Amino acid sequence: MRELPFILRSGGRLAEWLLLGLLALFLLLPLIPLVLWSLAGHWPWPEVWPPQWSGKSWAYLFSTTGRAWEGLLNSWLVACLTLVFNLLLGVPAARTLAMRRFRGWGWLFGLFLAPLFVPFTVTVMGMHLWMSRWPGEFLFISVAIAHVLPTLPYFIAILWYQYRLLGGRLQEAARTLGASSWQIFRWVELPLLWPGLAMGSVLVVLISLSQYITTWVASGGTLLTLPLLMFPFASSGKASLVAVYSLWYMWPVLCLYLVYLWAAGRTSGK
Amino acid sequence: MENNRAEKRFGWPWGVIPAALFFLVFFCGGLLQAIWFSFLPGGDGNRRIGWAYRELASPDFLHSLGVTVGMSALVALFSGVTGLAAAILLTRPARWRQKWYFLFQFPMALPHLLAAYLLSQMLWQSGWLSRLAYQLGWIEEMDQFPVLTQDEWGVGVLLAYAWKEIPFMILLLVPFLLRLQAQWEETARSLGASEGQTLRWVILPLFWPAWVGGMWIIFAFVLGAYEIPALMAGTFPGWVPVRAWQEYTMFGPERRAVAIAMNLVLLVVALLVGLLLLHLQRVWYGRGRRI
Repeated sequence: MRELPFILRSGGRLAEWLLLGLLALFLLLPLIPLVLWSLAGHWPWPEVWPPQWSGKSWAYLFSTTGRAWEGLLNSWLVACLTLVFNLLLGVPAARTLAMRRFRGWGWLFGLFLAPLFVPFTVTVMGMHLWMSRWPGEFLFISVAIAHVLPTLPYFIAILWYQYRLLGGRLQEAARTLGASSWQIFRWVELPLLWPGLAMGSVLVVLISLSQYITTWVASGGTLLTLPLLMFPFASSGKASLVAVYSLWYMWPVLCLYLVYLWAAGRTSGK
Repeated sequence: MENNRAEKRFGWPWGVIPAALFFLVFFCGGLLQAIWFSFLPGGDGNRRIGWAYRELASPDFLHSLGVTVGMSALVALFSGVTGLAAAILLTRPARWRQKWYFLFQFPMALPHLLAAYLLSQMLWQSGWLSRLAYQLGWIEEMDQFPVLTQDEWGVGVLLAYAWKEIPFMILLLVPFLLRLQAQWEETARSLGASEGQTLRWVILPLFWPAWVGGMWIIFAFVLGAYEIPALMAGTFPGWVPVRAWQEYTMFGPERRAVAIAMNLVLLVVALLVGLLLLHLQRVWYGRGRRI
């Protein structure tokens, strides 16, 4: 424990730069071959740069067997449904947990966070035992319900924290001025909570999009989201196809991130 | 007293009811259903109650379990320590860090499946690193590059998980560290503490629980996750989630009880580790949070 502060005090900017740079390199370097693979034709071993290019993988992606749009739409439909569930369940729960103390508070909070602290695949398997009897139109809903398990804990935790920072004074002031509960939520809490809400929502969408096993189990392998489409190619080592699907997965996420940055910039500018 | 007043003003905690019901029905309900199913007798009555668990009591499965638990702990520790160091470095006051912060967040946006693939294409013997090594003249044959995926020691799995979980740790710790610094640093400084002393005596003790909690989350996640070990781990002894998945999908509905039993074992391990951590935390609080 003694070395760490010492390094921080005297170790110089160079060491810090070096460590963070190494980490960034580790995190970002794999993207280069990813992009190269998506456009590479034949790319034999010792070449660092593909000697010939080809759009074959992209053509496959957009062919009828590639199911590019179907996978993307399924993924995002489930993610949006999951987000709706999170908002409906999570906002009131986080608000109450932050504003109030009641008997069983700790147990309830523990229950809400439980899917983070135990491997919950088995729960989804149990859920599937009875959800598989639901009619087929419920497929998206049952998958979204399964996705709520890994997302709601984060959502509640983030919002709970934001509500704690907010406190209860402004709401009280609004109430004495005659505002209704909805008005308080709409005009006092929402504008102040907006950053936390946006961050939580983005996280929910990202986690939902990336689920593989949960989607598989909850749908019995029938709902083809992007990870389900990608997995067979990844396990058979078809580098070029996986690269294409990965980039296809990434672009809407990148758009979402840019929208988030833009919205965050707008709010902080005000 | 304070409690009573609030209770009166706002009435009953209605807001938690929908979420609580949801968790009771789907989380607890699903869990109970799974437990019930795993104990059912099967195979036209020639398999007794709990046959699935009896099947698990083999050295083969215990070997898998040991590897899975050990590797999960290793991943959690490695990501935890690296993430902590990175978070501390990222929150030291300097402008450029805030600017480049998002680069360290980027892997959060990608699925574990992709992490496995991204790291594989780097680490394969025919991968990009091995190509770079050839161009730099370090190796001459593909075989001279070390085996890093599907390897004996799980290096590939560890790196792939680290790629995903270090950013998770950073995301978890950085806001916390920033707030602690804002709250406590000035006080500590005005009392004459150096930067290192503040870090050691004020900030670390306060956020220790969040750090350990984060590692517990990673541990529990890795324990039950399928994608990375399925794509990057060697076939023997095989991670428990991978085996469970094979049982679940390949050998017919009868074998699903075994898959569920395997996952329940993992869940019990995570719970036990969690209880141990909670106990240690209580002891540590009792001793005055000293590090």
